[in-house]
Amino acid sequence: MTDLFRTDDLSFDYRPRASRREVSSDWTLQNIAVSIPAGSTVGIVGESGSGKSTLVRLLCGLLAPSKGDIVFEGRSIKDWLSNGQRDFYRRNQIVFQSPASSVDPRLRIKASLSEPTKALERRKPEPTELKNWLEDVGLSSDVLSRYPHQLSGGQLQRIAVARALSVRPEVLFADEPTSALDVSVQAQVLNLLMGLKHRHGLTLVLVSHDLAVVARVCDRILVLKDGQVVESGETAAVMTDPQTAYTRTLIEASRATSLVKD
Amino acid sequence: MLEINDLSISIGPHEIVSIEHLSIQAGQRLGLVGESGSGKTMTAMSIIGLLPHDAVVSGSIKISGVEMVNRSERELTEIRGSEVGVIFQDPLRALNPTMRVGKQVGEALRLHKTVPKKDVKRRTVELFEQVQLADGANLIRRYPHQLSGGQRQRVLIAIAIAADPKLLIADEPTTALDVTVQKEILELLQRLSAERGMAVLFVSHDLGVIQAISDEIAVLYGGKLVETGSTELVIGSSRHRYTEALINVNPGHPEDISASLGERLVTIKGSVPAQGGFLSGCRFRGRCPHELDQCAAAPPLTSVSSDHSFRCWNPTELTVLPTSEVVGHGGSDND
Repeated sequence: MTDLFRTDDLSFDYRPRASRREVSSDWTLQNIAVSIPAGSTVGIVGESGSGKSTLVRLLCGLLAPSKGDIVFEGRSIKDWLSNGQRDFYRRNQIVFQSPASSVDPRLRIKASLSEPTKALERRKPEPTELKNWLEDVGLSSDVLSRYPHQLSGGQLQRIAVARALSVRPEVLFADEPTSALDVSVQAQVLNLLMGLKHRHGLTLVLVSHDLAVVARVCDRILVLKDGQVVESGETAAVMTDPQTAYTRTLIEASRATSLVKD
Repeated sequence: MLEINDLSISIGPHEIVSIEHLSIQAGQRLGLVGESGSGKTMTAMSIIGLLPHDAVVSGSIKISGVEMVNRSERELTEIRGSEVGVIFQDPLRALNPTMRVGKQVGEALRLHKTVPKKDVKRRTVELFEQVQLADGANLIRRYPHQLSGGQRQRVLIAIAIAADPKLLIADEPTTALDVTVQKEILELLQRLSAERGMAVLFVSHDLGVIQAISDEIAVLYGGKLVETGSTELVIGSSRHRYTEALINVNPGHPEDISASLGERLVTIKGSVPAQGGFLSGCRFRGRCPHELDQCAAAPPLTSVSSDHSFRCWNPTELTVLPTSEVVGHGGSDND
């Protein structure tokens, strides 16, 4: 598989003028070198504050690296964003954690769902397109005229996924897409993401603090701690033979609240 | 400690909760589990009279023998905090953002325990030690936004236990936390309940979390208890189809499941209906894969043992495996 994304000594800090300073251990991300093969499902795991959301925001171009570089399809992200920004955003879409705050409460679902097409393709989506996008995520077109508060969390997260996929991206980033949802709804959303990944040949990057979730869905895992990658590799290898004490701690914590089925 | 009998909570024409009997002994931890919309928060909040104004409550809720239903607001204020402590889901919203956390704990001490002013600070630091907040003397000067999610939840626990309540209600206290912090908080609550002989009502949608903390489990769906019993029995030999479904949606142990990578997860068909949208008879009808014709009638209460009962027309067959093996170890998947 070819690498779709590659980061090279990537460092990031939220404080101003970070790029002029030396990278130190208090930076949000320090010297990250990861690669994301095309068509893979990569899970980014870590606790709050480990930098996992920051990494995802850097990868999809919502933040600019302080040091180092991100390469997408052989071109530097700086190059993409100055020359081909719209194309880059179209090909890399993101779904956020809280479904309720990722849609405008004053807009009907139809308007929210149409936004990426309007912004990135400069046109209004056809009614049949809207219907197809919703069917793709298991919703009917009845929801188009509704407002966000009239829908459940699971339904809104489906809308967010449909909206991200409406511009036919190659990579879908999902930042804790299920942590605001019930376990029963979590399973539905994860199934949906896996199904869509296969149907559309997506590369999926899933961020989660729960290893149990990531282990079920992703073929590669990246463990982040305090802004550094402490472990990465194939899911089965990381789960059965973790190389660092930290990964073992995460497995233990996740195990404590998991049920074994008979 | 807590005894609920024939509790019914209605809003408008809809009966939201209808519980015949539920009790917790001192020092015992009861896990109340169900999906969003199953009525678990309503049940928990009815105990301390924190319900919407249009909610009508009937039946009996007794805390150490004292009736709670239809109390005046003033009497309830006395009981909240002193007899019953509460921890809410979102620690950031439950704390006052403009007030130092030490002062917020002190407030609880002064209101309910009438601790003399000069002792408040010392007691606050002691409480911080009990909830394992290191460097308490320093932390009391911080504002909520300067603390991590886990620290905030510990501050809330400190406030909740400040007046030595006999009952602690914890409504999804770990849902907003990382799994690692969640584990610590669950261990802390377990320890506090054992040390203080404090009864705990733990509410969650996640049976995995419930299993980690509870001695007893009550499964709620559509406002009705569908299965109750000891944790071992409810998880190890669950009988109701809804309990079975909740066990199946749990993603399972991380190491065991890498073999089933990319396989579809088990889900529960459909979603919890809105208020008043439940079918008659068994509430799980319409979503249950094992539905029979007789499920249209209310299922009778079946007692498996003195410590395990359920309401289901077509229950799971009893597993022959010894329950300890099923709960603790094992490893095979069931789909």
